[in-house]
Amino acid sequence: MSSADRPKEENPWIDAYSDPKADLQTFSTCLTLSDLNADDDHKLVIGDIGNGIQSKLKVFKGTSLTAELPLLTQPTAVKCVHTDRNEPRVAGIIVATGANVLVYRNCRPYFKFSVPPQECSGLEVEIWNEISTSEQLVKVLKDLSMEMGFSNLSSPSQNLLLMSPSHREEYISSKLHCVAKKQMVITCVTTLNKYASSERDVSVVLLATESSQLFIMDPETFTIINEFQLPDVCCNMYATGIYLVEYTLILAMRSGALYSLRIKHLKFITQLMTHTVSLLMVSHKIITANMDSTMSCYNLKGRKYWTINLPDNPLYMTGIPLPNLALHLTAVCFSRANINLYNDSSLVYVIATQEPIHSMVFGKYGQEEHALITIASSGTLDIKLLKRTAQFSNDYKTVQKNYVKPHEIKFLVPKKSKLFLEQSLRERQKCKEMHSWFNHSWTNMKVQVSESYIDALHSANVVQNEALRIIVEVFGLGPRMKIRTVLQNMSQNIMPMNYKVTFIYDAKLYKIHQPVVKVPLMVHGIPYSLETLVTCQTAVAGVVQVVVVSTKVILSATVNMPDSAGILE
Amino acid sequence: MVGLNNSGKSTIVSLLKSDGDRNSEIVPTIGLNIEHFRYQQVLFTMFDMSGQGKNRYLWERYYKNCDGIIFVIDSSDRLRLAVAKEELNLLLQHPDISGRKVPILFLANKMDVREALSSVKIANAFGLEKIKDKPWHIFATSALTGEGLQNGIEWFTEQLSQSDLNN
Ligand SMILES: Nc1nc2c(ncn2[C@@H]2O[C@H](COP(=O)(O)OP(=O)(O)OP(=O)(O)O)[C@@H](O)[C@H]2O)c(=O)[nH]1
Ligand SMILES: [Mg+2]
Repeated sequence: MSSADRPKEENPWIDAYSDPKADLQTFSTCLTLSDLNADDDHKLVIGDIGNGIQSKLKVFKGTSLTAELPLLTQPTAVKCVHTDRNEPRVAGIIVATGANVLVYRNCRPYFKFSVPPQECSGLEVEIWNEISTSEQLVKVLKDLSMEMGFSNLSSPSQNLLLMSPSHREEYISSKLHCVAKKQMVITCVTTLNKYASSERDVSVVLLATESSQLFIMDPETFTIINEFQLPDVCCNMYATGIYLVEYTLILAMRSGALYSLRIKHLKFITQLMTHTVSLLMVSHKIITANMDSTMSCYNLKGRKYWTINLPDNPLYMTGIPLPNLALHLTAVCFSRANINLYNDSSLVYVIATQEPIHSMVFGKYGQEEHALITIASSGTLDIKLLKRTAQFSNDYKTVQKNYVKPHEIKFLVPKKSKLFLEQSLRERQKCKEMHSWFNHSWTNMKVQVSESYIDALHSANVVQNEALRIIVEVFGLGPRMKIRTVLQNMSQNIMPMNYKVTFIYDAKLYKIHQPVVKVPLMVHGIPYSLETLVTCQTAVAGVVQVVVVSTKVILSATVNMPDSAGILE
Repeated sequence: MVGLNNSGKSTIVSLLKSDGDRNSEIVPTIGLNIEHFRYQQVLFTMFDMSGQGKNRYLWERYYKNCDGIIFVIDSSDRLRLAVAKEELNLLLQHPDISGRKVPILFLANKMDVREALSSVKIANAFGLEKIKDKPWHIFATSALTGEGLQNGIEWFTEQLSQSDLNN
């Protein structure tokens, strides 16, 4: 049987190794493959978080763990780079943690590099120097934090504000010396070849920080060779190209914006509606896996090519370049289970897994070119190798029933009826009249709506407003009478302000001496009475409407005035 | 002679050849090497195939005219045991092999390495006992010391001359 006529459903992966007892806990950013010892046997390097108790750096060769080094703090990212061009090309392991970048070579600590701390505002230094009591210091720092934002405070100030009051005194006395420096926190790390696109070339290390900076560090000298201020905190990045020739860097900001950095020029690409979980670039297209269970593709100018719905929340996405098949697949792992492989926007394969895959990496491992290494939620290490005969086709039958490819969604377009044809003809011929008629009807409708609104205001006797109670009383029999309006604020939370009481009445029948009565600030529960005199003009009994207004009508009540006929005569 | 890259095929061939024309330095084979040598009255024409993934498609082109197959396994490469098994299955299912009674010599090479699997374990993992229509045998070898190679090649020579007599 030759490779062409094999059944399509066949599993393209060989399950080479699985260790349910590996007990690994890590993120995809702390998982990398590299030819560490320059012996053409690629190793797997893992920054194991180890239940958050003891982080470790682990190196796997084939199916066995060959090295284990303790890490003092939890790693943010683990990468492998060549730090020089000496033979043999031994690679260094780079561990980013907090503000530091630890470099290991031959599995031994080699160098420690720290991102330079940021100077803080002089005001803050002054505050720390001048105020010694903890209470006062906390109070002033709180004000400062309100003013310039908590994230712009120095690390000691931030710590002080966050800790419990009982610890503050001690902290202040111990920390007085090193204020005014803000420790950087590295958010994400990526590497970029420096001289040539060879796998064995020196790579520069790109470090984004919590203070919206981007540093480019040269591992040959362990110095920062370039620095950029970003508009926001970068939380995901992807680099392609060669640093000294031409490169493209895609940055996903915490606000959801995408930026590109090409030859020192920062450019806005687009603003996403959601946050990116993972970011990739495949042949000049940016692919993002998003928190709203979608995957989108943009070009560098921000034009969207497509968006597809993912079956679940994505956890990570990685590229699977298969140059021998002229394919570049994207693998996405999900929060419930499974890894889906996509070619552009079409699903080509689903790797079914029993449990969610928390991290994965694809690349050369051992002697094998195409290895997919995954770590499941339970800590199981799983290594899959791509078969030599693997084929991926875009018409993969999905197991998920309601999956519809975006270009296959069909709209229900009814057939063109005779009526439709006549109508469209008329529309073309008499477009002017139709437009003016439409405008006419539109204005008409607006008038009608306004009229009914006014009607409603007049006819509604009591506008329901639970927060305000109104009682209207009329004293006297005429011609002089008194209207007393008692208002009571029933709401605990609202203090009505700038209310007025006014009256709607027939001026032929009555004269109201104080037509607008200002309502004072009303405290909860207390009745406020407002009075005004009324004089009857004729001997006819009518109605007076009492209205409480602010910028709009709040409440109204109608009172029937007593018949004053006898008295007037 | 087939097997994954780095399993030691070229190293074994150079051992089998008489000392004089031994290849001094062994580099990963590109495509294939054709080696002629005489071993105990039998003249071998050995196609030492490249074992790299991208070159393995070449193997099947030589199946038709071969009289026997030597399948070399790196017994220390536990990770790729499944890959070697996959390649063996492809070989056994190939129309130029499946109907024929070609002898197969399995060499579980690199037995000197500490983490190497025994030949029995490899035979089990590969399910070799299911091969009923072909003579086969597995030997643990080391191309560094030459251990096991002698026995293996003797069995192979015997098989080849037997099938020659039958024809
Ligand atoms: N320890 C040990 N190393 C061996 C043994 N046999 C071969 N090697 C080593 O394995 C490496 C690969 O050997 P090759 O003979 O080039 O392997 P190959 O199967 O011809 O590889 P390709 O030509 O790429 O298919 C060399 O560095 C050998 O020295 C062995 O029995 N024991
Ligand atoms: Mg070779």
